[in-house]
Amino acid sequence: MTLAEFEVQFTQWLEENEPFFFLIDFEKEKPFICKLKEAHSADVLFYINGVKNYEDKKVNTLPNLSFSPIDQEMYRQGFEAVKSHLIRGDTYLLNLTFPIEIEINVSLADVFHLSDAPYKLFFKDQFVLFSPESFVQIEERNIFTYPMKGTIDAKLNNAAQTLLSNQKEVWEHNTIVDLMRNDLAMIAKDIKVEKYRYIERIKTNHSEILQTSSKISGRLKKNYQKTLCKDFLSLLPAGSISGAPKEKTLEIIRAHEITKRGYYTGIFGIWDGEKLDSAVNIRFIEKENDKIFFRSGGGITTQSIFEEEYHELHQKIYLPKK
Amino acid sequence: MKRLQVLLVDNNDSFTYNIVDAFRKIRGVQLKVVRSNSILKSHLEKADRIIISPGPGLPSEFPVLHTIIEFCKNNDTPLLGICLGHQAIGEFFGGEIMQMEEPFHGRREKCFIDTQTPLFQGLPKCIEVGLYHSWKVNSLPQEIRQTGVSSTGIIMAIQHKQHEIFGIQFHPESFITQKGDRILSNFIAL
Repeated sequence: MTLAEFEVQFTQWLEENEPFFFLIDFEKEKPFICKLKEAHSADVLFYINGVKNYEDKKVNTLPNLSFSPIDQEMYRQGFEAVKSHLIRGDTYLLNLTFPIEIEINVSLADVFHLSDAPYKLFFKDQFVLFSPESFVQIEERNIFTYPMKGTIDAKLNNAAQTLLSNQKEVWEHNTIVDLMRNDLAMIAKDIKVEKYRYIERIKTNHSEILQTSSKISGRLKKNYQKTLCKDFLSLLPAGSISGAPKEKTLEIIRAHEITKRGYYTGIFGIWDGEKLDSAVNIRFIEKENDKIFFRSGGGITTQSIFEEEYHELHQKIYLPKK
Repeated sequence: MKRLQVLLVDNNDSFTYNIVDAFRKIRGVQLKVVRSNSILKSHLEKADRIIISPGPGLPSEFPVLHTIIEFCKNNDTPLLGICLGHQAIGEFFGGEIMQMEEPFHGRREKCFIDTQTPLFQGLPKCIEVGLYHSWKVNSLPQEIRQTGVSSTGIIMAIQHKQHEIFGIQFHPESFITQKGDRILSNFIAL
């Protein structure tokens, strides 16, 4: 399906008040849309903040995930190239990602049923994701976004305080808040930062991590439905997984990442007839030929230290615990 | 009453619409956003005020900025340059820009401002500002005056001595900056 066809379908179902599911890849090249009631038969299972289209299934296997760290030199090449662009001022923040081959003893469908996250998606046995990050919510004329930036291992002493007072994290978070304010202001007005750097706790199969997010709101125009699809697409790729300024930053990402991102760091969501809810496609496991890859990444700024970013990339490889 | 026509020159930036949203709260203004590579002479001629947005890289990568500053100087159109725009103004009049040892992206710093200048009227003498820059204006020519400096000694605001041409290194549209909206409405009220 082309993006133009997607737009027609999205707008038509919105007009007819027909609930639907949608998925858009990072490159906006292979969007997917289907009626909400038909998602299950299309082999698409979703969980969106309590709304789901499947029966729970008990998986008896204890999940186990293992991987070898990615080649340091390969990561260093990308990291150093991005660093030089940051120092030159071509970008203020860039999210650099890599695929990491993993081994797991359960199927993608099992991972889906085993994991607990605000947003989950199993897509045609191609990939599964369990994302903690909400992208955009729309209800009546109000639009909200919740950029997530900043991670720490919850086991560390004083983890919450350390995360909140970490200068690098503050600066990086400020950048993403200004970026997302800008993006919402392209399609809405009265932009407000409603909550700044609040902490959420995420349980994983090996530990717990803390993440900071902010809540930003705006007011859509009357009859916003007419242009909602086009407006929504103009927000993509999401700021938190690309960077700022977005256009130049995307150019640098394309030049230095080794593969296309595809559905990873795209978005998915539903329109239920009244409101829209969507997530950023992170914490993402995909099948490619006979191999399984976990896709991970992190925000790079001028303050970023190679060893820390390399570590964070691997820290995000986990299965969420139920 | 005819609304004031403000032209916002966008250097492919991702903070441009934060400026747009700030202007939505200012009455009597019609704001037009145009990409810097699409600027026509007619855009400049129609404008009562011109703003040059922040942007990536260096001012020299946006050669049209030179033409815009020259136009404002020759036609007495008030001009406000933000970040990259500020550096472009500094360079145009013969100042030098210099790469910083450590770039500031997303940082909040104290800035001391000259509250006698029209741009900073009604503001406290010291405000907290949001910064996104890896270059700074380092030396000023005779005809340009410094109207703001950060606590770390970096030139934060400049003003032409004869023309209503202003540059600010910090981001008035950032949520980190205090009283940013007031600076923008001061520019409109000139």
